[in-house]
Amino acid sequence: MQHGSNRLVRLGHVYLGIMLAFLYVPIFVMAAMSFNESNLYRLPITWSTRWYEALLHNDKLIDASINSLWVAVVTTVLATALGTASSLAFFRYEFRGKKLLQLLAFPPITIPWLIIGTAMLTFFFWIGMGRGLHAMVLGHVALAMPYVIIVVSARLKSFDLTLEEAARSLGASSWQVTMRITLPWIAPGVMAAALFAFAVSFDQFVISYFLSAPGVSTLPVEIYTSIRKGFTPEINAISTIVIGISMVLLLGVSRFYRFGGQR
Amino acid sequence: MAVAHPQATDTAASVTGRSRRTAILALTGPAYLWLALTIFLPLSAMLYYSFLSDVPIGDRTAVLTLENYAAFFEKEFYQTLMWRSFRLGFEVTFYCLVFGFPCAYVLAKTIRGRSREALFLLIILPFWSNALVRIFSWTMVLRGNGVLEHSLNWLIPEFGSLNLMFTYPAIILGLVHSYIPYMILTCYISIEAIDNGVIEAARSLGARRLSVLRRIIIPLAMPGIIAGSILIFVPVVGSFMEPRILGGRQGTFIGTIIEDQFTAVFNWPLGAALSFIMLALVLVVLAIMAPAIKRVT
Amino acid sequence: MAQVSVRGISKYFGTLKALDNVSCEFEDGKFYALLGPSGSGKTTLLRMIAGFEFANAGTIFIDGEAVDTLPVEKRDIGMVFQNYALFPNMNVFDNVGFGLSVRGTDKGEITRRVGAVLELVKLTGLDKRRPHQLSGGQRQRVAVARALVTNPRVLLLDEPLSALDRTLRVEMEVELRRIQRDVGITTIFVTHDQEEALTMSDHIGILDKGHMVQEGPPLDVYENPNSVFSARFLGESNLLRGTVRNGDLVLGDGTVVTCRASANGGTGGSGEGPGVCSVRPEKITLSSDPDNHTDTDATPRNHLRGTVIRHIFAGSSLTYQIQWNGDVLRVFMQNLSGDILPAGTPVSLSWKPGDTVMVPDA
Repeated sequence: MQHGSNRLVRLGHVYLGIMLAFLYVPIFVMAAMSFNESNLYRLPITWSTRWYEALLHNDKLIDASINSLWVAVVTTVLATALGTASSLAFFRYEFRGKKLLQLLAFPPITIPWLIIGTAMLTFFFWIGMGRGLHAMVLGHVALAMPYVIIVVSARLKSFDLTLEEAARSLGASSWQVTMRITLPWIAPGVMAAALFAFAVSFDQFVISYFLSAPGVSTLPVEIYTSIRKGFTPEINAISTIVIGISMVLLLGVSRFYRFGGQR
Repeated sequence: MAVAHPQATDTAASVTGRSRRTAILALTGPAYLWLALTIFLPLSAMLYYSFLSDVPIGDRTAVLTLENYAAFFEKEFYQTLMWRSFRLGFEVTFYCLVFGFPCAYVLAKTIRGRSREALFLLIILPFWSNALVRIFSWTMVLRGNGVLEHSLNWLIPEFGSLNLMFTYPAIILGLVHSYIPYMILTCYISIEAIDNGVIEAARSLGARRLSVLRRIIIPLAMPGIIAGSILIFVPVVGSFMEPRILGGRQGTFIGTIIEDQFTAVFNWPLGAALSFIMLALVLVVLAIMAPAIKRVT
Repeated sequence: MAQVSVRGISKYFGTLKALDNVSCEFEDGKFYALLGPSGSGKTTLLRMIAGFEFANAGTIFIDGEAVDTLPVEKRDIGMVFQNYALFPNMNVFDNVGFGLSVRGTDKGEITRRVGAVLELVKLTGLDKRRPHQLSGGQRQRVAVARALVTNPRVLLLDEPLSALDRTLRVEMEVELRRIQRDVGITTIFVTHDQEEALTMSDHIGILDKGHMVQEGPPLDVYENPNSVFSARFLGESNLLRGTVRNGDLVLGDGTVVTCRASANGGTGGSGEGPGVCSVRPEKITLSSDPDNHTDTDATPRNHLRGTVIRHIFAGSSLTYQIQWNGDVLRVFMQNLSGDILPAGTPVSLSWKPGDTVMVPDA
């Protein structure tokens, strides 16, 4: 259904195009530079794949990438499970303190990451747990949980509670109801929430920064220290790879879940 | 036997009540235990630290003191920086709203089908690219002899040199670029849910486009606007990475100061105190917005 | 198949009393309708028998066993929901077989029993379809099949026909009754539609604001209402108010109406004082000759004179609204002659004394 005059609509499309171009400028620059011979980003670009080759020998970067991946996968699994369980509880039951609990899920979003990161550093230091990947997982899961709860709850809104009642009237236990009736319905929401959690963790810089131990860090942190010390163009190479993979994954997942809404 | 608030028959209530309680505990317990361990306890620990005079390790002794908080009120330097950070938060949120909302609207209401899905994916894809690299790529664009300068010279010969690096606008640009997808996403979700019939009804009643926008679309999209604003404002206030990389000397904010306390200066108590002052101010801002939030939730 | 007993059930939602000391016996194998307006508590009672709500006082027995502490999934009931609640992620076969599969029944047995019950509801061949591919009537049958396949003790139906259009509803009324008779299961059916209750049930219970107002076989409750509420809620009633004298009712304009006491009523007709009697619209004969006093049978009939206000033509039937003494009376008749009396026509109403029931004015 077209809104208003076609001229306005076309203007809108042009605007959208400009915005997309704006969003992708750094990504294109990054991809282009990853193939640039010069290590000082001299223009014009001379084609070369030397940085990709150098990447293969850059153990620090590779280790950091693997760490990022590992942390993100673990975070996704845990955050999605915990967040979905909480969403189910909020959906099914009314109980005293429910509003309070729902509110308490949001601090990770409403408190600047800087404060959460430094607080975690302080606390883990105090109890002797120290820093490292396990500490990062703790932090990332807490950060991702509100997003999971929001996304899954939104999907649950469209779930008909009488379906659960019908299943119970047929003799199904709570576990059977959840597994066979509720989860199939909210699966798209859970998928979306999982993707969200993955993105939150993989791209997370601040918390990882404070919780990384010497020699053990994630990709964003490694890149940051690299930038401060003197940037190596292999960073462009690995970032191009990362976004390339993400694009493929996202396309794959979008086959199963309609991101743009049901209409 | 009329009773005001009678309980369900004893045996029935206890049996179902017990299994209900177990279910609720089982479902929410793990998540909130996690949050307690990773958010609430750490915050408490840091609160405690903010009242210490020194970091209690090794042979350093620490006493309870208010001097860390006092430092904020005594030194104008901290107050200026705090205000600077909040101003940055408001500005970035504002630009994200002004530029992001129309995007969301165009996408939600004027494009259909596969193109819409594809464009939506394109907009959220940058979420998966590395924030740091995106910021660094901006340095390559904005610096002297960078992409922007070369492009402008190619368009307008003899343009001359242009170095936008290490300026306040560069920081704004980088932050807006990083966070605008949040606003586009949340506004998109809200706008997409607006029933086209409502807009058509308004226009059939004679409302002009601007009226429809002001009185129908924006109020109905308000949950998305507020959600996006919170998702942007809060991290930006505490940001230090983007200011440092893009701003250099100009990039001093309260966030960078706090980061220094923890990584360079090792004055954790001061960092903790400044953090809590920042947190209090953020909560004040959210509290001011609370009536608007309540109305939409 | 089981007998269900509800004894002294009271239910509060906060300070709102949804059910007030309700007791009822649902006989084994019978079709029982719980009828009432919205807010009467009928759905709450049904959900309590199912196990979704719990009483504040009283007990529920199924087959002599108190089930108050038994959760829904253990009560061995079958329930049909108002919106059918078919599982959208499963086809018809899996929907119907769900109750069996959660009990661990083996696949061969499931196939056999699902096939049998689909045949019972006349839906054979549709087992691969998904709910959204079915019509409203088909979805309803699937819901019934799903509830019956586990051979439950009781079948509970929560206004299952309210979402269907009129022709389909009439058809399903007959179908449901046939299925229930074939299977012989104790059935409790909640509705606000008195026609459904009358056509389908062996026994009606009328609820109003949490009280059980009247119970009994449909014909009995219809012909012998025990209260003004029952008289008006089940079918239509013309209520005539007046003073009781010597067992007759003397109306405001002096007319004497001979009534009988309701078999279920209280003290109607015995004492003196104000009284109400009810006469159903279909029992009244209408004549355009206002002086027609010829009684065709031995017993003298009751007479009133009035004027036609308007008519309501519904194809096979005709309803007249008659102005009498400041009141509006309704007369319902079959469309035999095809003639319609115009507004303003003076008419004479007559009916048998046996069709006038004195009801307690409560």
